[in-house]
Amino acid sequence: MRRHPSSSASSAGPADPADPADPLVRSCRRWLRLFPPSWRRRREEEVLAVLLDTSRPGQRTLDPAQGRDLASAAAGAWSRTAAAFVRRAPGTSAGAAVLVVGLVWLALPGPAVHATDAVELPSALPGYSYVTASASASPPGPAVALYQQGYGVELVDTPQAVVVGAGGAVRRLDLAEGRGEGAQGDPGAMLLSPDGRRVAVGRYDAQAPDVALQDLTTGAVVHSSPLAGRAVVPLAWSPDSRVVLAVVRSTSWSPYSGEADRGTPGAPVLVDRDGLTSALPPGAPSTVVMAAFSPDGRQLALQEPDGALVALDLASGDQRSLEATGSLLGQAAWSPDGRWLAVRRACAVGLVPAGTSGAVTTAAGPEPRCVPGVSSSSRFVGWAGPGSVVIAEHPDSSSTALDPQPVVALDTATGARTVLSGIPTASANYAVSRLQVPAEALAGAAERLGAVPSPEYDHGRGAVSLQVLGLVLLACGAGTAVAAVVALARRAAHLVTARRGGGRPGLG
Amino acid sequence: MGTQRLQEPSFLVLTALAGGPMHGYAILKDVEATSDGSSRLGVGTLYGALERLADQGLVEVAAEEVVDSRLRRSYRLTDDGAAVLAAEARRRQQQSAAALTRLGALGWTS
Repeated sequence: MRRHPSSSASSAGPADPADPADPLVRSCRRWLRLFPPSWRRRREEEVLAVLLDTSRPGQRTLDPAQGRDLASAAAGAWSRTAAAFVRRAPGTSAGAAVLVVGLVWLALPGPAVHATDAVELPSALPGYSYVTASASASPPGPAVALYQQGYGVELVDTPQAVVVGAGGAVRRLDLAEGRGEGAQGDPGAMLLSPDGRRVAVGRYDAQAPDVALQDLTTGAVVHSSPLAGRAVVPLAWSPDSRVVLAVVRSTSWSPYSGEADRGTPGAPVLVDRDGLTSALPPGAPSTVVMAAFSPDGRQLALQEPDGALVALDLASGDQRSLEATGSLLGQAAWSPDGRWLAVRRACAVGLVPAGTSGAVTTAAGPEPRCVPGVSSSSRFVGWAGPGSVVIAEHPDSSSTALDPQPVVALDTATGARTVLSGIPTASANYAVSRLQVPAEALAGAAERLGAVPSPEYDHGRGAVSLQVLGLVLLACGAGTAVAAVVALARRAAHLVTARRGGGRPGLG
Repeated sequence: MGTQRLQEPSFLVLTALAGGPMHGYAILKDVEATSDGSSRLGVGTLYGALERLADQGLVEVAAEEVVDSRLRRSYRLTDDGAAVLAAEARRRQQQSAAALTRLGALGWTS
């Protein structure tokens, strides 16, 4: 019966299909693994026998041409197997196809972030979204705003730290959201740099806490060395965005404690953007609650727990007392012309003279004054110019919904109001808080009168878990729809066939 | 069924089986012999064609046996397979005749 007996390495006799050690048998079986399992159960032994019959004397492996022939046949076998499965289970097949295509799409790189050098506050900021990608997975580029949206008390308004890139990329600041221990679900202590390119994130309650600095253009994160304490909160970036002043606490910190309104008391430490830490000059206050750099970066306004306010010359270490009649309003408190410090006092935004000349002198000048037209619920954001402060307006005591929640510039002398931007809140369901706009994005905003066009916002692809969940739901929906359509079509075809045959469907 | 067009491997396999039931190796050798060695099927191609033809009801398994520890399965033509082969052979014959007639008119001779 044998036509071309094959030879194995160990014997000159015919190759035995049952001999797994025969090199030609092994070679054939390797190629036959390309075929679908059902085909192999049905055909493998038969085809193996024919392959051995057609082998040349002494052949130890299949030729490339034989391999190509088998590979082509295997592709056809898979195609027929798939077609049979589709005919047998069209719904499952459609769902599986959607799933496979979707997973491939998810595995591909997302759309590139639109890059721009113009960091300006647009006339409208993006609202809440459940499918926003993270800044680490897809860096947004230089930011024009950072805020918390959602308080976790309304309908599914899970708090998010939202960072908005100048090119329109909207991302969740996952670094801050992962450091919100003890903050009841809110993001951790986060502070945007004046150039919008970096964000510093502290810890509220951690062993050996550190400051994490994320580059929003690359997503790279640099950590400071662990600090001796339990909490660290960044308070103020230098104007050149090279250094951030943070305070380190020996105990944990709750942003909702009763004293939080007056700031975060702790020992000051400087962290540069490479994560290196240094101390303030000798003689500087050992505990501060608020801080703001002067526009030239040479001085640092520091507020102590008792309310005392000093201006520290960073080069010489000299200090001078400032009129302390309110709480410093964050890192952007110092006016661009260096004349004023914004404070919260009897009014929401008050101005006290910064006394830019002289050292260790008590600032003299007019009585601090209030910026007119600011409601008590409004929050100071920064300066749009020497005579114009920027505030985020919040619902007042009447809880009147503000949608979009306005960001306005107010003339410090007259209170004249210019709306710069707004953040949609879905009728206050997704409340906005902790708005930060980098100084670079506010510079000159008053001249543009809130007319900076909004880019087309891109939320990225959202969290992977949500993407996969959405894909599975889509696949299930597609599978169900296809199965239903095919079932109806088959039923219709059955009826047509039965009528043509003159019989009644279902009765043989 | 009679108007079905056949791919070349299917035509060759059906032609071989028109001579009677054959197993895979015999089909390969028959294809080679009837074409004077000009047509050779690969083993993968042969079984791809057999699968398609069996799915279409043109061939069926005639017998199974184990020879020298090897499974050997013989195939035969079904009535539908014979009809399809006959139609395909006629079509090819007509096309060949037309081609030869026209070549003859041009002065070509084989």
